[in-house]
Amino acid sequence: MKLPGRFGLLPQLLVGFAGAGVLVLILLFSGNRMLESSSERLVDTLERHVRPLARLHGLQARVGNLRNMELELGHLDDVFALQSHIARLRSEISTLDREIGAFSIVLGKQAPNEAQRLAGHWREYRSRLEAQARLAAEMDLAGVRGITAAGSHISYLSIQALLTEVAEQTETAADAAYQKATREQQAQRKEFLWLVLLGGMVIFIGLAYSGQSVVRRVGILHEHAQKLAAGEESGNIVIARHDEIGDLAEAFGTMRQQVLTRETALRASQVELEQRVHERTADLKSANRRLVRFSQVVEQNPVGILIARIGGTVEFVNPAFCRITGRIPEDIIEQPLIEIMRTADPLDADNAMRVAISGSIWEIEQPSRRGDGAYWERLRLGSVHDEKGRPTHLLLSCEDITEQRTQMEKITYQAHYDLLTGLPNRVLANDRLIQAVSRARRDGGKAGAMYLDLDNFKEVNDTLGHAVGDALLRQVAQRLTAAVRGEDVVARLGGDEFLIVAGGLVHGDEAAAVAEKVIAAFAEPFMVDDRELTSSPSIGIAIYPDDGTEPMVLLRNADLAMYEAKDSGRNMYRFYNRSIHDLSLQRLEIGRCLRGALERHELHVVYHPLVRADSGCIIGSEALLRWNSPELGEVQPSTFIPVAEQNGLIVDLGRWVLREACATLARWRLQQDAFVMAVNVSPRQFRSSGFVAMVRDCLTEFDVPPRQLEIEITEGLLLRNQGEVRVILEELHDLGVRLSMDDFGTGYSSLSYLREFPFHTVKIDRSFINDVSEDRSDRALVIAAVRMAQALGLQIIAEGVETDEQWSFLMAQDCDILQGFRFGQPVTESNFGKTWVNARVVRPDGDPVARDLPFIPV
Amino acid sequence: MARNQWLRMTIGLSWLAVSIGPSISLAGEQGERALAAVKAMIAAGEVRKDATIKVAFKSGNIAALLGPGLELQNDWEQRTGVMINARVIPQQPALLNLKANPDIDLTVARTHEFPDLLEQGLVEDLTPMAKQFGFTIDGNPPKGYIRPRLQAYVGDKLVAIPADGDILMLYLRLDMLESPVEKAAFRKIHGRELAIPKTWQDYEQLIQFFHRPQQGMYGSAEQRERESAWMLWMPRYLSQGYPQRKLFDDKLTPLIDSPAGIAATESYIRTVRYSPPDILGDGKDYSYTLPLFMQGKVFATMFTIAGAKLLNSAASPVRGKFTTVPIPGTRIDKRLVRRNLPIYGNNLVVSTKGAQRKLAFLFTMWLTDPDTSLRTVGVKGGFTDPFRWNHVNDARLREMYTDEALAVFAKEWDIAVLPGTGLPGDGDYLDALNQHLWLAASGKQSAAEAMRRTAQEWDKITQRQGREKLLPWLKTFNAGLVNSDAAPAAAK
Repeated sequence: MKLPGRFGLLPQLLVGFAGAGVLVLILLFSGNRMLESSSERLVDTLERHVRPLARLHGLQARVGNLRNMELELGHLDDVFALQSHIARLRSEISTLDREIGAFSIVLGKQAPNEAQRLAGHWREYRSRLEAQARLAAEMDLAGVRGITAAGSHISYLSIQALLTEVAEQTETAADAAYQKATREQQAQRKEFLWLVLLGGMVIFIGLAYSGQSVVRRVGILHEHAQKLAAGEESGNIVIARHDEIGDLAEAFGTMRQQVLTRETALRASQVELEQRVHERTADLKSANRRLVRFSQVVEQNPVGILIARIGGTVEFVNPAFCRITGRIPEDIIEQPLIEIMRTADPLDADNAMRVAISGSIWEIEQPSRRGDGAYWERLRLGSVHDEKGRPTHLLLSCEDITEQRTQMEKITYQAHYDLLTGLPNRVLANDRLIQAVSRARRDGGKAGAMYLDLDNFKEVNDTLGHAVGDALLRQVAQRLTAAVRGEDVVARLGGDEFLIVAGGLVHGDEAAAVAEKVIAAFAEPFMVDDRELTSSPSIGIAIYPDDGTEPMVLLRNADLAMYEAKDSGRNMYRFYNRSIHDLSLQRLEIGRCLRGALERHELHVVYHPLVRADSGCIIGSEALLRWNSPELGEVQPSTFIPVAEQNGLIVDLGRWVLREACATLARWRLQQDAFVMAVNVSPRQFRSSGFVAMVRDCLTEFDVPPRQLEIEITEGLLLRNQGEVRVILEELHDLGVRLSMDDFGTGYSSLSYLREFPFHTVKIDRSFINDVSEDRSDRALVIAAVRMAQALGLQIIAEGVETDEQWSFLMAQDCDILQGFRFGQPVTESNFGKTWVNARVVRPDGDPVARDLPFIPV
Repeated sequence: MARNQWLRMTIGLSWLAVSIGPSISLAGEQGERALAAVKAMIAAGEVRKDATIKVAFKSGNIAALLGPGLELQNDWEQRTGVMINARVIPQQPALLNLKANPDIDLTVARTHEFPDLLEQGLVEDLTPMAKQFGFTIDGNPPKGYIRPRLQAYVGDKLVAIPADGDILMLYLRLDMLESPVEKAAFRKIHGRELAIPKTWQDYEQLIQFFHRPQQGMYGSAEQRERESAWMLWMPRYLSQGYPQRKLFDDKLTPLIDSPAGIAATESYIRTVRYSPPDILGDGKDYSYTLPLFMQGKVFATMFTIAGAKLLNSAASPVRGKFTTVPIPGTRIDKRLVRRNLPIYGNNLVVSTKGAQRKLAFLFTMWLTDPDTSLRTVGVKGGFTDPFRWNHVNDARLREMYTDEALAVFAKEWDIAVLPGTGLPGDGDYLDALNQHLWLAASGKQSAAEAMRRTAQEWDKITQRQGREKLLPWLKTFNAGLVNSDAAPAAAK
């Protein structure tokens, strides 16, 4: 409410500040004027006196510098510095010429005589300098020094003296101007200080009056407020109401009345409240006892329990929760539940809370970590509701399920991995192959199944024991894993068989590259218990989709290709192709027909003569097995013997052949007492149990002298498991049986074999005899073999003799025995008995050795 | 950017605009790669953008290497942001300068000083840096460095970047040679035609003929002062055998006191009698001999091709009156053997103690770029001489040096060999040789005595240095006598 004559605080302050402001402005304006005036005077002084002075000093310095350059020029000690010095000198002359010209114009306005003198001196000095520069360019430094000494210094000193004189005059004038400007400035400063003092006093008085009025009235209000706070009667406030402090006093009076009324009502309410508190306290005590019971249950529960507010902040955890999670309560209480749950994806925890609040139970099993390491936990999250069914809290239970998980993982691992090598086992390998095929099918690419078998693992296991075999397998697994590509899978299928699944192939050749790396990885010997072991792989490769579209078909075809690799000489890889498949079928068919062939009398033995080279006498024969199958016709030994070797039938067949040969020998001995019978023995038969006993029994049964039976084995037999072979050979040797190395020259042709093992005879392979007439190297080899055998005291048999020329050559080399078509085809027992036993062949040179033997005109 | 940098840049740009004008151009491929390498180092944080390369050059070298008005320095600083702090060092061996200024990154060294600098670990083996940044210091035309194996390497180590090709040339007064009167007089006295000398003997005959002191004309003004005596003795000595006479045998026994060494010394001191009277005075180096030739007071002088640049300048009184010819040789079994060598050779070396060695190396690669270096060689009156094959064919330089001088210059490199001894202690060896040559030239020792005493002192120096230590250095030096830089003759 406004009263007549009212003059509020704001107008009072505004008027006060406005007055002070005006005063300050006046002061500032006056000060500024004084500064401007002072500045103008200084500028004027600078313009009129100081600048010319500075210019003069600059000119003096430049002239001095020019003089220095002049002096230096005559004393330069390096002619290559001359040009740059001359250039600088000329540049300086030019610059100074311009500056002195400009200065002379200014000087001419004040002192024309001096300006004229300066121009004259400069012209003279400049001409001398130019002459010096010219001489220096001609490298006449003596001439330069002559000018310097002769007269240039006079011109220089004249210029400097004149410039100094002008400078002194200018300096005197400048000094006077400066004194005057200083005096005027001091007077103005004094005036300004008086003005500032006056203004300050006016402002002080105004502020003191206003302050005193406000402080007095605020003091009255303060006194009444203190009395009201103390509950004392203070009476009415008397303050004139012409401004805001008066308004405040009136409002304070009204407030004082209202406070007194409310205080009475509050006292009545207090009595009622105390009654209610008493009742409520009794209820709380009862509830508290129940809570203690529940609390003990929760505290002692082995399951971890955590209670959080609906908002997600943790309120409580029991000791089991802390024990399982490895955390202390202080790290959990008041922390966000989402962080405590530690789910891999924070969204999972968020979702869990939504599920729990909606009334369902959310559950997860997850790996977690605590101080003593990693563990597995099962979390269940639900909600706690009030009596109206509204969720009030979240309840999280936590169980340590590490042991359950470990057991489960162990079972899973054992089901999918090979415990010896740690590689995937057959089950997982099949799964990976299926995956690789599926991916190749989807991407339009290729996948490879590579079946790998160790070539001599059985010997290692048999001779060195399973512990060494297992160690070798572990090292093989490591090398395989290191040799293949990152995306390939190496699995152990069992025994010494491995599978490499090569996925993501673009060309089948990539599998070949992997196979080559694998073979290369076996090049270095394996070290097992300080023993050096060599091993090699045979690898069969089948490619999806070329060699099969189903994983099992690929596996089978890779297996077939692996056998092909083994048959081709081992330590190599072979891709599956149709011929392998056909060959496989053919082998199966041959194997099927071969079973029972003996019983069905489909097999028979033929004999090929052995002829003395020097006399042409028949000294024996080689027994050869033939098969005439009703279903397959005449089957070549080279076709059915490997099948028999592979499926083990060779043992029975070999035994039968030996018996037939011994029986035949016994009959022929009646005609030719010293007749020798040679019988081929396959590696499998040789190593079969009871082989030596069987030979002994045979000799005994047919009463054949052991020295007339010659057992032929191939070099390949000696390559593996030499210890076992040596034992059998020595037993046969002790028995008195002759031992012959067949096909000499086609394999390793190791002299050491002949020396170390108890052989009697060496048979040179037919391939060397065939070309002995044309091929000088074959001739040399045959000569070397004969010499070597002679040196070792061995008998030599040359196979494949077909011509008289070959016979003559071999005879000339003192070869002992010949065998070949030169003497006819192998024939049946009856034909051989009629034709060859106790017979003789005429030598190529027609040497008629008079013997009482049948003559064979072949 | 600091205000003074703006100021420098502004001044630099203004200067370039005014003084170079349209001739300024970007550096060539080598220079651009050096600039790119610097920027890459800055971008990678390997060096600070405001890094500074400290260079130290002798008096007069600053303008010759950084351009008049420091135009090349300004160009480099603008393009890389890397500053050049150039200081002047005294005219003394690089060994002393590097020891006295351990904080510098880059300086110049003469070719014969390399072994001492390398052995004392004062200069950087630049081979790894050249490999790191992909630079090849080759002598291939049309733009390669001239004979880098002579000027930049010790064995297989790259120790310097060539920046000045200081091969010796013989300057003769052409007008006097072609004067019919002189020709007739010469034929009358010597019975043969007056001609450019092929052998040292011819040369002595010629300067004897033109030596007329009473007319103010001297026969020869070859440097005969103490400090540089070896430079003009070496061509005489080296040409005493084929392919060249060696200073030591394989066991470091000096060979200079042999008859060949004495003959070379006698040839060296015989010119004194046909020289101006002060020729033996201390400090009477090329700054004494070249002005005499320019002022027409001597018939012959011997100096690097920088002499041609000065003598052919517009102010030269002998411009058009002199000819530049190959230095003479010695006739051995009807074969004329001539041997030349880079006597000064201001090559850029990087100090091992410098803080910015890589930047310094890159700066040298930029500075000696085929295009950039045309601006240093082309400095009027400067000492920097052609050191790349493209310099020889540059039209502006041909105008400056004369076609004839550049043609002789290019050809003389074919017979150039390594200067100095090639051994650590080279400074001591050459000091001893200089001293005795000077004494011999002054008539205080005979040629034989001078060589004998020098050989004795060389033996002592060898003992002091350690003979076994020096033998591998000698082997390296001798291997370098074979010209492994041979460039196709067509390029020269």
